[in-house]
Amino acid sequence: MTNPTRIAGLPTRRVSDGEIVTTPDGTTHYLNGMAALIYELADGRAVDSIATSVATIFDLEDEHALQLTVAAVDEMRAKGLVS
Amino acid sequence: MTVILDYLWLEVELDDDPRLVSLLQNSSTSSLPIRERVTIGVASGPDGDTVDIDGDPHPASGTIEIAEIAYGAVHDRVARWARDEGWSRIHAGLADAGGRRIMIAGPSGVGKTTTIVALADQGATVLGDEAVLVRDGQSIALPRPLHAKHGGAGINGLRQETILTTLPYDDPIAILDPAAINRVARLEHRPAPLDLIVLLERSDGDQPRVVPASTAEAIVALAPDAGPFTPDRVQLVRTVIELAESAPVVRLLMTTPAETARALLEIP
Repeated sequence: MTNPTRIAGLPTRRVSDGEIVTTPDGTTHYLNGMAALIYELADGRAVDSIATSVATIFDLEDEHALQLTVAAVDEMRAKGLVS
Repeated sequence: MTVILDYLWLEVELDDDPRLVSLLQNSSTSSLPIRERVTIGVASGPDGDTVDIDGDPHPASGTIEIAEIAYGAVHDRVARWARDEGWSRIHAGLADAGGRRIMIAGPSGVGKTTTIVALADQGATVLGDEAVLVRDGQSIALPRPLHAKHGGAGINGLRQETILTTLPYDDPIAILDPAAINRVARLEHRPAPLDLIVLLERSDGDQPRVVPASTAEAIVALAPDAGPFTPDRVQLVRTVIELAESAPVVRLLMTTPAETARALLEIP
């Protein structure tokens, strides 16, 4: 998996429990708190590194955090939020 | 005789016993309303020392246990009030310098405290070295004495009159009076917005170096340490992101405390 990087210029809006990102086709995508963290950390760093932060901040087992991070990055890629 | 200390929402009434006063003396007042009072005393008997928290006795053997019980009684209560009032706790120091409020973060042992003390020597007002409470764009320091590790960047160069006591851990910790560090009679704590966030890092270079940092770098540096104090991790992530977007964030690659403090004060 290549290192995920947020697509530049997408409008984002923070809400109480996460973040809303709008893609160029006008679709709004809700990210829950953990997904918002993964999205914010997607600056070209490795997925493993993002997962380590997710594990530490959300008190998760490393393996579980990695699974969640990989799944979230895959979904964000499919929706055009990260490259 | 007792000593009254202002710990933000907590008023601490201490026995006027140097074993307690030298640990907790913060020489501070704050603009926040007092929500709770706690009394702390210490007594010595044939079976050892006892720390009394609101009349509840806690056996303690030696200076370190007295310190840990007394700190726990104060810090746990302040942390609870901070949570209840919606503040998140960031592991960092805080200083006001040149009209700017600066938060200084870095891993334990990197040399935060000695850099912060050097900042005071160069004219800044040092507000804390351990915890910054943040909420709605405002920041305020936990007004505890500063703690300098002998084995970290070292206590060489500290003015003797700033040292309240030394805790005899394997790596001893000097407890420093924040008012003496700042050369004032009392230190006043008020919430204010942050103007600069500095992430301290060790460096092998011979000059301190300032590098702009991203929101992601700020999250990685600030959020993990704050986790244990902010049960709502979603709120914590949001707070740290908002914090990083509210003020410039830089990495400061350190050299000596004096040089690092100088470089910090020169950040535009």
